[in-house]
Amino acid sequence: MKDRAGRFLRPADLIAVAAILLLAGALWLITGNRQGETAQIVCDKEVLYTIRLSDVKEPYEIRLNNGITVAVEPGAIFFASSDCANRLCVRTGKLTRAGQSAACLPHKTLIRVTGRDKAAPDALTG
Amino acid sequence: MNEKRNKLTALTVSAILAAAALAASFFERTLTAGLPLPPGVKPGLSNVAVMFACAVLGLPSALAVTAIKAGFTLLTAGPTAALLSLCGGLLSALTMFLLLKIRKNRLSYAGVSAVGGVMHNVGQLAAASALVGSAMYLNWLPILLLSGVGFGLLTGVILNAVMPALVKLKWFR
Repeated sequence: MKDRAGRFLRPADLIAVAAILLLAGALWLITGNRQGETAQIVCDKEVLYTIRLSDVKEPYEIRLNNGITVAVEPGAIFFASSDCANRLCVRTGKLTRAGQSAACLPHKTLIRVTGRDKAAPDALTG
Repeated sequence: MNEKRNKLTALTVSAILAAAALAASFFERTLTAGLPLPPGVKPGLSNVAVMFACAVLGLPSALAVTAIKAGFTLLTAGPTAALLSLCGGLLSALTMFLLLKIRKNRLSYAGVSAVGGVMHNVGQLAAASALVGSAMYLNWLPILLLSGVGFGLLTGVILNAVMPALVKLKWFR
């Protein structure tokens, strides 16, 4: 027990930290940084709204029946207000890129942005 | 007789650690209240107490401190936060206990704490994802891995610094 105290940051520590940082970096790259295309509002594991963000011309708000208001803007979606205790969902801010998400856990509500639909390419070369 | 005494000491010290963990959580909450931290990113100062319990008193004590912490969260922040606290806390305490038990483990307290911090955030995020029912929420993982490592190292260094003084007290062993 005592031998663990005293010196800190041994070689093994650096290896462990480096491995975790690498993993974080790899996950960061995988989740990608593509332009957001479609937004979804999921409540109680059910998709309530699917919005094509590129089609949004005027900002508007969606009032859910659980005390949450979601705001939609051209190319962005975010929690505008919530009656939950800590409002982490509102503090998360605007989602604009594919792979981003925000959640209000007390209300089991999630908003997420996904990329272009792979099944329907908008252009083909050939 | 002696064993009974040891058990009593372990119980008492566990209670003190739980109190210290609650105080650390409260202090941390007031400290970070105004900061625009992303969801789930927090210093986790109470980990110093949990890790001390892991290292000195054993797994039951560490799990008890974790459960009491979650109970405190239930009272102050509601059931959702308590569930996240419990899931992250249990996974973290279990991981740190195992790492500390392995003889050949070459990690220092800082290293064990960093891994523990990461596991805490992984457990929390897994619970959060299960709540909203979407793996899409996992995009927060990179940020939470980073904060887990960073703040885990910090709490590990703190434990490393106070350990010699605590060992001198000799109320355990």
